[in-house]
Amino acid sequence: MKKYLSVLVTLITFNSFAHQGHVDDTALLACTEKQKSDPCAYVASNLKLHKGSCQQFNQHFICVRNQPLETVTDKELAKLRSEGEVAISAWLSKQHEHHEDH
Amino acid sequence: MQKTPLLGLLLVLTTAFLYGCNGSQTDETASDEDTSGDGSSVTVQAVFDPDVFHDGALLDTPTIENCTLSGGTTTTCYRVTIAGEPATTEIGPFCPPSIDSDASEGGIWFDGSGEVYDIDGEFILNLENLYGGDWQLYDPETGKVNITDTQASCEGAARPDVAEEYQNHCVECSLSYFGGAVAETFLIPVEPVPMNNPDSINNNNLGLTVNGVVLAPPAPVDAILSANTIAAFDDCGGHINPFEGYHYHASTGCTESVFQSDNHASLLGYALDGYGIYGMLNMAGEEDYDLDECRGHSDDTRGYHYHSASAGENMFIGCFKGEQGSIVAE
Repeated sequence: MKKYLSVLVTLITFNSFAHQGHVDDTALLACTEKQKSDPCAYVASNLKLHKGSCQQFNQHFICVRNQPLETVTDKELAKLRSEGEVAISAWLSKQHEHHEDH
Repeated sequence: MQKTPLLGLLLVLTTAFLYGCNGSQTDETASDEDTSGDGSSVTVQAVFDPDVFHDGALLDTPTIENCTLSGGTTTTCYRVTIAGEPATTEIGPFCPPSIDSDASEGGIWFDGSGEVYDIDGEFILNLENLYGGDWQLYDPETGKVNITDTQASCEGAARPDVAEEYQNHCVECSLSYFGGAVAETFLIPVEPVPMNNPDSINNNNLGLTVNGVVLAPPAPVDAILSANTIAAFDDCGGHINPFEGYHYHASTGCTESVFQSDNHASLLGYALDGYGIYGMLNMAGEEDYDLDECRGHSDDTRGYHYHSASAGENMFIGCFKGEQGSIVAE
């Protein structure tokens, strides 16, 4: 199930990226297939970890942070990426792929 | 014995100086502490206080009337009419005139990514890298930024389906196009009525500021960016559209102006449910760890209240903890 979700998130991420450059809708992606009040977390393009819950705005669920912002190191980001539980900014993922290619 | 009047005078002068310098207020009515006969103190929960609004923020003195809240509770509400323009700051600037402009000539932009960008010439030049190859908001021959600088262009661009000729524009509007500020009347419960299951904000305006401006839900940045437009905010996180007039989408600190005496973040306004909304950080620059899903919590002085998110998150609060009053259709 996790793998399926991961593929879905990746596809949505890629689709958004292809159309809009690095428009950062990670706060929405963090609430994919979640319900109101479900816990969520994401790392935005500024390397800040946002932890909170999914709340509804204009028919979308957005991850609303209720914990203080945490700065994520590269090592921590790699760990979060491998665990697959936290949505990660498409822009950061693109940077990661670019780095891997080189 | 003679020290007390001198100290009192010094305190009054200091308070007057601070007030005069920054246009801010101290919320003396944030809590009413009654001392009971046995010497113990009883803290009374602070709720909507019509006295904390800045001069010029309200068009009329708030009155109290019967009302029915969103959850069906019949109670009393303050009828509050805001001026619809900030009483404490100037509106704008929004879009920089050219690719050589510095940050003082433009406002800010946030897209929910956590970043807050200064809209200067460099930002305009960098949009292609930021959002994609088909972005060009300026004339490459003159360096002038494409700005919606007429009422027609403002109305063509500041809407969900941006007219094609206004794509690749920095969007700004003027209140003068619409006959001035848009006053709005709110019914705010005198005593908040908490709910076990908070209500979603959806796409509704969520409250008002102490300087007389409406608090809007997150700006629809995906729709704005998909038309290759930047609906520029001024440095206070507000902008103008033909429907709402001037409104805020996030707090950058301009409205956090009712100081608290206990190192707590300053009050910036009230949500439709009557609970206060305070800045994100306390006076020591720290954020609270115990916020609920609506970004609220309780303390002994203020009772339940919210803390705004950062401007980069493109929102104020997550949901309504209490039954909401309403915005009165004029």
